Amino acid sequence: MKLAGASLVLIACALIGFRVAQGYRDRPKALRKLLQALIELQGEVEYHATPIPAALRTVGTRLGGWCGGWLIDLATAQSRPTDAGELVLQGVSLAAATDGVLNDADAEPFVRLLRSIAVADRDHLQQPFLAARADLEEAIRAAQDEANQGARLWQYMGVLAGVFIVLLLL
Amino acid sequence: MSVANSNRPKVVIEQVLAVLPLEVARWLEALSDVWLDELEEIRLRVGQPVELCLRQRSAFLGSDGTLAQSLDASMRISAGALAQVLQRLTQFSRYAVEEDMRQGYVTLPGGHRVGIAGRAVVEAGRVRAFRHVTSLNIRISRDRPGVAASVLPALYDRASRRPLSSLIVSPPQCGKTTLVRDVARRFSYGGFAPGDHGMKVAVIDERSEIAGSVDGIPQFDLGPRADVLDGCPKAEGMMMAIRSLSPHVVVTDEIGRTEDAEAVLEASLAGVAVVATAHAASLDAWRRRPWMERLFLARAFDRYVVLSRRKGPGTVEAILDAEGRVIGRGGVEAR
Repeated sequence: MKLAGASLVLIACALIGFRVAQGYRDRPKALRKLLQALIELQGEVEYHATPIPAALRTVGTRLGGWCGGWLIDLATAQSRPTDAGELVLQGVSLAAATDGVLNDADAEPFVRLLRSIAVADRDHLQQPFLAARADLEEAIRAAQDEANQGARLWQYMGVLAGVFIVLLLL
Repeated sequence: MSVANSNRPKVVIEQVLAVLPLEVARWLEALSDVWLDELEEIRLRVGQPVELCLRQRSAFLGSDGTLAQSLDASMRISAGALAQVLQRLTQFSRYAVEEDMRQGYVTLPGGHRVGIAGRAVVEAGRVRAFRHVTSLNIRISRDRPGVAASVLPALYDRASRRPLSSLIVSPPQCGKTTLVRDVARRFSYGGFAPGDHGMKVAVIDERSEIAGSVDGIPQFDLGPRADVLDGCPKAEGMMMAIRSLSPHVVVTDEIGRTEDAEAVLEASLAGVAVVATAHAASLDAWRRRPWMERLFLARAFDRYVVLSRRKGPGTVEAILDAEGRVIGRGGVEAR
């Protein structure tokens, strides 16, 4: 009985550790998906001169998944009647769309880009895209470093915490 | 082909309301259908009352949502509110309408054209952008199926069963686009003359007013045989259509530039009928433009339809043949 209990505690703690580690690993992947969305959006905007809401919808439909859904939510938010003179993106949460893998602050380069190109002419579209791309690539690098360190750390932590609790209880 | 537009006044102005300040939109929506049906333009000017141009008169929108009796009781538009309207009508995408804005307008979904006035930024003698927009003129676009019924027999050669190249001439706001849209639709559906089974119609809709396209999908019914080149420059579009769409008739709006005239000539030589519109008070006034006179002398058009607002928009004043002889008299209200 004791052995079964100890095994359960150990497995539960290890799973928690693995779960947190998985979050670290998912983050760079999710950010890469955002980068892909950005690159496709650049094509829509620069080559086809598609207005932002339609471009977001097109790319969103093409990408599908959480990223596609989030882009379509952004497009829908812009189409709502409002008195605001700038893009209204409240209520469109990246954290909610990614089940907490990314946080709302991770959307900042994307949102900044949308605000910049809203008032840019065709000759000046590339610069905001390059800036957003650099920001996202930097975020991916940081997330990858965190994943390399944090994922392993949390795996060990989970197992060790389980062992520690089992030893305490014995 | 989608037919999202309805002639119910509130549906017609739905896309216009979406870009207006909420308060203005709310009051406009509250106006009776009778007023809304007569509404032709909504004019917004910084610091000035919201002006509603109705069919026979103009009025100001009151701050209580009624039509104001005096200037003091009218609703005024701030510079900030106007800038916000501009942002929304460009869909927060200035780059997407840059070329249109250079020419002083933006077209809303549904074919409503918005004229722009303000401080122009000029580069190499050409307007590059507008820095301080101070006025917007929102022209309400309406579909009037059947308006072409009275002129259509004159635009069609029963013997050869072919459409005739025709030019619709009038000053602004006399219903040129509405008429040309209905002509395109009737040619496309066919059946208006014995033996007519419909024709392939290529619509070159540079300003998205004829088809009122949204994301390339026409919002006005243009019949089953219409191909729309939306946002395409007229001259280039006419040549593209003739080369690749094999149309019986090419329909376009507001020809005036040299390249437009060259494309019309090219089409007439290729045996494709062109139905177009042009701004002018009369055929003589239209002919005073050098290139247009050349078109006239080359008999590029078989028919000229002159419109006015004498009995309301779309009043047909005269129908003339290729030599400018009157073959049909006016006073007929087409709408």
